[in-house]
Amino acid sequence: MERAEIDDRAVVNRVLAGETDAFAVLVERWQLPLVNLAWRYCRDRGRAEEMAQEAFLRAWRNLAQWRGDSAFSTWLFALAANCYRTELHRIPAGMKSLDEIAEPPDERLSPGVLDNARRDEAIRRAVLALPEKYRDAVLLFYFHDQDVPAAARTLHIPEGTLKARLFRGRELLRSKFSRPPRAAAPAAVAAQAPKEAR
Amino acid sequence: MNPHAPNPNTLPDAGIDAALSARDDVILPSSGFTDAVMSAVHRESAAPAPIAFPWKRAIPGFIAAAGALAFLVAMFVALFRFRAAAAAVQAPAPQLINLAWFAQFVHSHIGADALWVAVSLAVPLFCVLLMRRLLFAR
Repeated sequence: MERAEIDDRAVVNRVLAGETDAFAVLVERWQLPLVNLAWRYCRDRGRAEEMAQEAFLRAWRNLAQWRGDSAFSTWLFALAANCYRTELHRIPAGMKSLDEIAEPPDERLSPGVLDNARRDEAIRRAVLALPEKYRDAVLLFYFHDQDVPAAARTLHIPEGTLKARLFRGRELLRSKFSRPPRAAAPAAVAAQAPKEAR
Repeated sequence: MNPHAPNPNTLPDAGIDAALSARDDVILPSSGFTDAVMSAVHRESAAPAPIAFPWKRAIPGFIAAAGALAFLVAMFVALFRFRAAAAAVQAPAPQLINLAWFAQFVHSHIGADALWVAVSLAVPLFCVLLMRRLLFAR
């Protein structure tokens, strides 16, 4: 058992014994990942903190349910992800549908001009527009540094299911950001023009 | 054209990986975050514990409701059997929504009091269902 895990258990035991203030130790330790997971779900800083606060409150209420058969972090992330999903059902993130998201500029037309940050942000927002099960798989896979078992544990699904959802999610993202071949386009238009004129 | 060659018009996986695992896409919690969480925790721990649902008292009610439901089902089964028997002897089949006939049937086969017992059980059941719907439909 890792040291951090032992520490978590000790702190949880103190909280369960009635030492409410000890919960601050857990908040300090886990606030960064929980706020950032929320941030990935909503892309809104203020709301991310509110969502993380709600997740911590839920953790506080349900602390006795952590039996120690999994790492505290696994339990906490699963609880937080569940909380964020519920919150987004209640008030969806200010997002557009996958079709409405503006495509990033075409880097082949102006090499070097493409603003990578803008492209990355467009991709991150496109993830939020994915169907929920693909969105969760993609978000948690990257949140856990591309660790499939960790993401699968957080979502309570088998690794194979996670991989399938991840594959489909990435496929949807790729299709969103794909473009028709430009070289063929003028020829196709020219070939079609006389037919339409007739 | 090689069908296995990567399509230059699609976003490569590396692009998705780079965007979604970017180390710079991290926010820091505000300085008062821990205090805000702990204030909420203290508020919640100071609040009186929610009143537990009185299962012991409610169980007889649930049993009574289940009994009433079973009674209604049995009554309707008897009604449909009666209709089927009437149709078999070529008697003019009464309409299902004919209340006068229904009342006569209940009076002659079950007893007038049973109908009122069923109604008095159905009304609170309806009220409970309506209240649940109004409370949890938010």
